[in-house]
Amino acid sequence: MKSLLLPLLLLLCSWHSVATTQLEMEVDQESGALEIALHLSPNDLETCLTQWNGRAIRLDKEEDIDGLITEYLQAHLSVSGADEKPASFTWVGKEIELRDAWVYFELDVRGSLEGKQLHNKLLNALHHDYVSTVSLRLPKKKMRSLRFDRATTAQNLLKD
Amino acid sequence: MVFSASTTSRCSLLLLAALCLSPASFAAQEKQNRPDAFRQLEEILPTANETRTGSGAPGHAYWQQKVDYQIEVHLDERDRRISGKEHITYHNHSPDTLTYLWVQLENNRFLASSGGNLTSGAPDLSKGMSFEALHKRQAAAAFDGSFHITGVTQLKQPLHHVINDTMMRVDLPTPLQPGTYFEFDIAWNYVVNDTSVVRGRTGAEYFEEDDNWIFELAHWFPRLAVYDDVDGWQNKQFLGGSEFALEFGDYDVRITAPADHIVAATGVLQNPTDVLSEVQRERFDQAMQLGNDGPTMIVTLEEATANEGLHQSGHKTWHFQADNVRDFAWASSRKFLWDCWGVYSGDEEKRDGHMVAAMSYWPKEGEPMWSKFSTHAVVHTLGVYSRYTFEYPYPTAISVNGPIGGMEYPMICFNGPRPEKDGTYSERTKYGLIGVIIHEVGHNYFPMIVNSDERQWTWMDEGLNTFVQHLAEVEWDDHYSSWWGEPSQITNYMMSEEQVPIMTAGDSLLSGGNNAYGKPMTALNILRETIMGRELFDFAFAEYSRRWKFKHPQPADFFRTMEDASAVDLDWFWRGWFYTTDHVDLALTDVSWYAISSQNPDQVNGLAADKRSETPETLQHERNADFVKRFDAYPELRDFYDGYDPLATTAKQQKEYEKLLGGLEDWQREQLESPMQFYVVEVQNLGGLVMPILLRLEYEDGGEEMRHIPAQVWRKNSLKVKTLVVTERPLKRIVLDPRLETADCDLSNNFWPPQAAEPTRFDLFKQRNRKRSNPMQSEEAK
Repeated sequence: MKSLLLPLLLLLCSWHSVATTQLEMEVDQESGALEIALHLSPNDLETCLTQWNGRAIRLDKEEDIDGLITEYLQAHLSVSGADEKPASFTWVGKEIELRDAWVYFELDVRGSLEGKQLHNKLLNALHHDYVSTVSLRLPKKKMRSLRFDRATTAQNLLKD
Repeated sequence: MVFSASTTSRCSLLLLAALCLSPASFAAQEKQNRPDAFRQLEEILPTANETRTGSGAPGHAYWQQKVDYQIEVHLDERDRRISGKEHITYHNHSPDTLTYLWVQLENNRFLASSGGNLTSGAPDLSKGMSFEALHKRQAAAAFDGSFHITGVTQLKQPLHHVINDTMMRVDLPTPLQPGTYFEFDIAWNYVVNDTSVVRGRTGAEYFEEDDNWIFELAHWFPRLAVYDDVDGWQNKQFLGGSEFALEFGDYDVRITAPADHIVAATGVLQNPTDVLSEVQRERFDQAMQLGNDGPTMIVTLEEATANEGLHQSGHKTWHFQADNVRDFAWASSRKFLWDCWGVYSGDEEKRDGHMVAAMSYWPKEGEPMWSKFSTHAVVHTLGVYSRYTFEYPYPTAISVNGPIGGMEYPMICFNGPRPEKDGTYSERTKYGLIGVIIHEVGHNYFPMIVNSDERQWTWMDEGLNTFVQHLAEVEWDDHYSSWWGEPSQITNYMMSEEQVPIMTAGDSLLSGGNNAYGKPMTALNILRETIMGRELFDFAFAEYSRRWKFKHPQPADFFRTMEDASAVDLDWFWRGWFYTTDHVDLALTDVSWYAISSQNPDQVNGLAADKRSETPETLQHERNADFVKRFDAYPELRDFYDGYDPLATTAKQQKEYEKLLGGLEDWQREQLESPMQFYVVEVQNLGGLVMPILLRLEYEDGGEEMRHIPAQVWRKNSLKVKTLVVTERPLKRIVLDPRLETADCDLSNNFWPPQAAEPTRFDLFKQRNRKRSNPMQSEEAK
């Protein structure tokens, strides 16, 4: 997608939007992949795909909707280490319900999150109050929670 | 009563502890490092006074200001310009003398230099931007939609005024004494934002195919800020996020619009003969007859489509009057279809209400959804909300389709969903439309009538309204899927670390949707379903609504009324759910089983023998079994202990037992034979929020029952408690919160015996879809 940068923005938005995504993550000890379940509103998903592609996208009508979601996710969510090379992405599937959309995919982190950063810009062009919450399951039933918004788009997956 | 040996020793210890209670012990108790979840809110809530009582009701000295408006406004469609002048009468009902008034100019937010714009943060530009997006941003940056104030006068004499961003101070020529009023005039104009470029709660939408606009106009005139007993002037700037705080008053508004436009507005049309055709007036009269079973079209699809091409010259003036409202909004377009359904506000059979015109306005692009659902949804909302709060007091309730996704104003709201161009629509769009109409019409109750301060407390209108919205949605059809309602829908948010309490100023909220809508509505739902029960809750909630109808409530008024009207101490609940970011995670950490011992040595020893026999044989013991033992080779080594069974009943034991029985009365002997089982269930609070302990007891005989232990069980130790379950039937399993009533964020620790951790959502999906393929595989398979 051709792009330019611009320093100024003027947008007003209504409160009346759900404007959140939730990601549940866990490293699969066998495969070494970071398994991710992304939860968001189907409306938000549809809107951001429409914005990203520059044409109206309907989740239930688009022939290659999985491909479009994959392309969007790869552009807006990644995990990288010191070499800044993003972990490879594997599509697993999706579930679109009336109020909820779940997207499942894996990032190949080779079994370790040490020193790795999560870059998360999902839907943050959609709403000024947009928030993405990450719940990362760690061994011994520990849980790490990360919050992303327009100002915070990259964080270490483990403690700083 | 006598317990088994291990239990007896525990009992003895407990007894000792009880005997040792002393002032020193209480002092130690105070030093315990545990949060006091039941500490009353008296140091947090404002001190009650004659204006707002400790019961949560308005006090005998309650007062609020009143502001009346006479407005004349002109819509220039071609330039999208609004020009207006208003005559304001400000009634000072306060006990204070005022030297200036603050007037809100929210449209100044549509200025690149506005405080809201400068503080909105940066977007993500690292991935660049499309040419189309760039063009829109350039247009947005250049747009000036601010108020151009052309006059602030009293009797044509200028009044000194100062504009500070979205607020304007008007200095009074003489101090305004209590009980008096001040009249003055403001004239202004501004350009309406094109919502394809600059979004907002107001704006205009252009339809290129037929060269028409739909205008949905809000905060379109300078409005007085609230002056009250809590904040003085509520003159926090409008940053674009938090909504409005407004005074009640009477409005007389004359809207001059293009002659072929249909205008929808707050209030009642005063001059139908000037602006409506005879046919339209007849249809309206028909629509307002009692007994109609659906809406009547005032402007049909064919008429609206024909109207689109008219573009008549000239203008018409629509005259509306609205009494006791806190705001005025309107919509205008020649594209509008219009329907109306006259319904009774109260019990129609008893005739104890008044007629309400439930109406919808929409362009042909809204068909066929809007004619099918919109006015039905309006009527449905009025019926359900009135049942849970108070009878709808206004004469009209209007839903308009246009560029605004969902916004509320008195008697009128703007709702966005439309079907596809081919007229089809998804189930999601259908419920999106019904849901947003219920929500926005519902806002008539909160905050348009129960007039809370939206600028400060978003949850007071959004949370309460979303709660009643859910009650209305579940009465729409059998399979309505609400955004929020079930406690399990809020657990992910509540578990997240970076959040702020509900009691946070609206403009500082993180994740406003969850914070101000989802969490408070879930909290109220839990109060209603699990903690208070429907009868107590519904009365208290309706009492709050009635007390603060047409008044300005504060959070404490809500908290106090809910307790006052129910006799349920809820300070712990408000503290936890509204003032902290704790979540619910109760865990079943231990269960101890006790049974009554008959003390019959045969029975006691038999039980011990059974337990001994259940001990598995170790591997080493099994392998050693075939060895020839030394005492087999040398029998002289055998003695008493080789034939001794320590669990065989001895004569001494039997004698002691008979002695025991002899010393007991009949009823005591009966108790020794009781099959009673005692389970001491330990529950730990891992999430911070105390909640009722809801136990499902599953018995070995297949039966089950629920035990509901009120949250007050945590009052002396909010981290760990033990509760006693007494039953005659042995338990097989205990499940904590089995019906997901408390928003418990981790269900894996809710079982006794413990059960394997729940698979993740990801694992469950993988199990269901083992034959998955990625898009490349799909492509290759073609």
